[in-house]
Amino acid sequence: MTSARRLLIAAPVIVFATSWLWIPDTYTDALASATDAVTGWILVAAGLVTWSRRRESRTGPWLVLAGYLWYVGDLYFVFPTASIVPLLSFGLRGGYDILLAAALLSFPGGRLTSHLHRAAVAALAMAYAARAIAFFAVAIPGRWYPDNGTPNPFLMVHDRALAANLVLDLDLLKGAVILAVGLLAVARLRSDAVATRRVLRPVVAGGLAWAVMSFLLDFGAWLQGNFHLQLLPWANTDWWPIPEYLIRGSAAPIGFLVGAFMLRTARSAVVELVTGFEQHPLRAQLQPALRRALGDPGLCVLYPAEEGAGWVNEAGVLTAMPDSSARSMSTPILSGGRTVAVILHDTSLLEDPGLVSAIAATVRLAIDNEQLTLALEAQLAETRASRTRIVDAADAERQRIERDLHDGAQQRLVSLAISLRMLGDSLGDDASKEIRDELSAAEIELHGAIDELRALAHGLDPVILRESGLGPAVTALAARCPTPTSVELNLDGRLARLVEATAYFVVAEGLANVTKHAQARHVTIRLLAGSGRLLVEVEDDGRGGAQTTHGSGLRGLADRVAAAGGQFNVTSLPGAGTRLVADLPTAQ
Amino acid sequence: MSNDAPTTALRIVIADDSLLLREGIVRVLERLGHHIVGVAGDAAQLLAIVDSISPDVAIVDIRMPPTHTTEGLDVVREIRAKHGTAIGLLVLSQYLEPVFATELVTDMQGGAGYLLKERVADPGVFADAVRRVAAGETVIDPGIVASLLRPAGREPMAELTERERAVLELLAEGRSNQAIGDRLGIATKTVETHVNAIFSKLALEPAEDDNRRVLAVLAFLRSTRS
Repeated sequence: MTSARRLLIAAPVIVFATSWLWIPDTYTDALASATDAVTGWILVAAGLVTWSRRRESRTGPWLVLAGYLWYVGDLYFVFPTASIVPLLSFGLRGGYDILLAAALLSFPGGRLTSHLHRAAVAALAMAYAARAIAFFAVAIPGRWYPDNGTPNPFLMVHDRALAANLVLDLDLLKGAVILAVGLLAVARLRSDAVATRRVLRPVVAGGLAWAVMSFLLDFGAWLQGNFHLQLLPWANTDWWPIPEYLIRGSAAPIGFLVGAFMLRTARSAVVELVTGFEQHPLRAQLQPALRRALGDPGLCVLYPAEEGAGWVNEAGVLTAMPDSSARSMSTPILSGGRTVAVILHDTSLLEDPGLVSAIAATVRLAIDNEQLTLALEAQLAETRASRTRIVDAADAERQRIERDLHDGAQQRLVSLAISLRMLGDSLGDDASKEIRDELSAAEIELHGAIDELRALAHGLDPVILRESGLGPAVTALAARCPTPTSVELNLDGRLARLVEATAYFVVAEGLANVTKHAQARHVTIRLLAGSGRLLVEVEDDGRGGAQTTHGSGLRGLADRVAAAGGQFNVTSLPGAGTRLVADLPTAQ
Repeated sequence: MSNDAPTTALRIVIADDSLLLREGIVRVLERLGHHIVGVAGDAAQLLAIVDSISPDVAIVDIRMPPTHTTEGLDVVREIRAKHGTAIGLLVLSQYLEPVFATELVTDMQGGAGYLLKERVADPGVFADAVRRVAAGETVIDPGIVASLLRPAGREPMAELTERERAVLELLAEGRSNQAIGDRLGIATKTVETHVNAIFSKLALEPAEDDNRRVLAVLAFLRSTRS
């Protein structure tokens, strides 16, 4: 039911209650009239709030209906001349007590869960019915209710004393049942689930006040044979009817209103739950978060054991699943047709099925999310590891090729060069100029090949880096750079091969870029090792404006550094030089 | 610089793990009139031979078993430590790496050289290098010197004249004033003048001894200061 529709249902009684503020001259005085109006409001408000927070609960509608019934006793003021309305008004008054009793014993779930509670409400309803029937049978117009000229059509008993005793006895019976309901409510506060205890407290306090006052009024009337409480010394004062009336009528509704406002909506519980989640691991915090959000300190979350049957707690310890009892029950959390967790919670949660399903959905999302995150992280770690392995393998392969080139092809070429020279020498003066020129050209070609092969091998795996380490290798790079270059080294011994190779690669590529593009006057290379990291910096004072996006060299550097688990950063504003920084982890 | 047999035949030991190349080197040296008194395939063999024979010169491949990187540099240091300057040491290398070359000659203080392997096929250069290390001179491969001189545009270097740069290059190769004069076709006196000018322009301490002079020049070239 929409809130607009609920409001529409309550509208007549709200209008009626408000109208009471303007007709105090027909009533004893303005204050009593206002009290009547406000009590009706409070009942309806408590009903509407409970209704909106617990849509499936009957407590809300009961309280709204109680608001209607509250005004039954006042009908004769509105229609004093209409037929038997005054008789009905006086005979049927107090019907709202039944609804208050039912609401008091069922708030906020709307179900009378115990036989005793149902019996108490039924007894109250019967006492009310009996009292109403008795009243109609004995009520003499003008004595029991205002006479408007219409006789009581139901009048059967004419013995005044018997009539008065009968009604007063039944009133006392009803008062006693109400007192019993009040005490049952208190007992409920002691025994009911912790989760609902918090909201029950104001409700029970108001209800108890209502029950005690109802009983006292009826008991006093019964003692005195009068409808007014004479037990208390101040009962005859002018002001007493106001608090008496307030407690009798408004204490319970006020309690309900406070309790209704304290009711947590499913939405607010979910919000609290979701905002309570930090980063994973989720399992460690799910149970406390649910306990907090649902106000159920006995709540447990269990997960299916990964291997075999059984359940584990958040620490992975095998835990027996407790049997469902009167107080606790389990709600499975399903994801993809599989039970991913079970929440053991207080049965009182079921009073609000919306809450349970919202919580279940939230927990499912959280678990799914965590599993996705874990899977993603595992994948990412594997990707990183495989990237590092690929770079490592490529490095090893380059080293192997470098070795093959030096020990194979290069040796053969040098040997061939020796043979050619020997051949040239053996020819002596007999050979023609043509043959000599040809031989000389072949020798030049051969030396070119040897040089190229050497450069290739050096590019593949600089032996100075492997043998002497990063410092000498980078210094050698700097010495070869056409742009004046200063080197600042703060290295402590050798580093892992991958780290050295990556750092060397950054410096080599950085210097190559400076030579090609930067038009710099000076370059500074910094290598700073410490705290498990190696900081590699190549900074020039050139024209800047280097692009990381389509400069494949810088892009390749970033990839290379990332493969070593590091971070790469380029600062290159036009006119302000270029600065490459690679931050590499050295601790393995 | 001729292919003619040297005035003095030297007793030489060769260490290279490549049989092919070893044979080539042997042929070249024999044609130059030297005596090959031993060949070795690795550092241990070389040390044993040197200990028993005491040759005039050991020609050592930089790259030998077991790691095939720079074992040659270590073994010549060992020989020098054991036998002093009596044995000239010439390292043949595939690496155009100034660091290795300059460190080697700096440590040896004369009677040592670093030559690229393919120089063996240039008997003039090779014979000259062998003779010089035997004579206690320092030899740096012209390719290494060229790579050290390549970063042009550095302030003090830019102040040198064309002729002074040529002298500096030969100076860095470890040559004497006489040799420089012969190569450039100028008088030894003129070479001396150029050397003084170079040292003053590069703000180097004057050095009488040829070896010290080479080391000073190499130290300057290796430095990254501008």
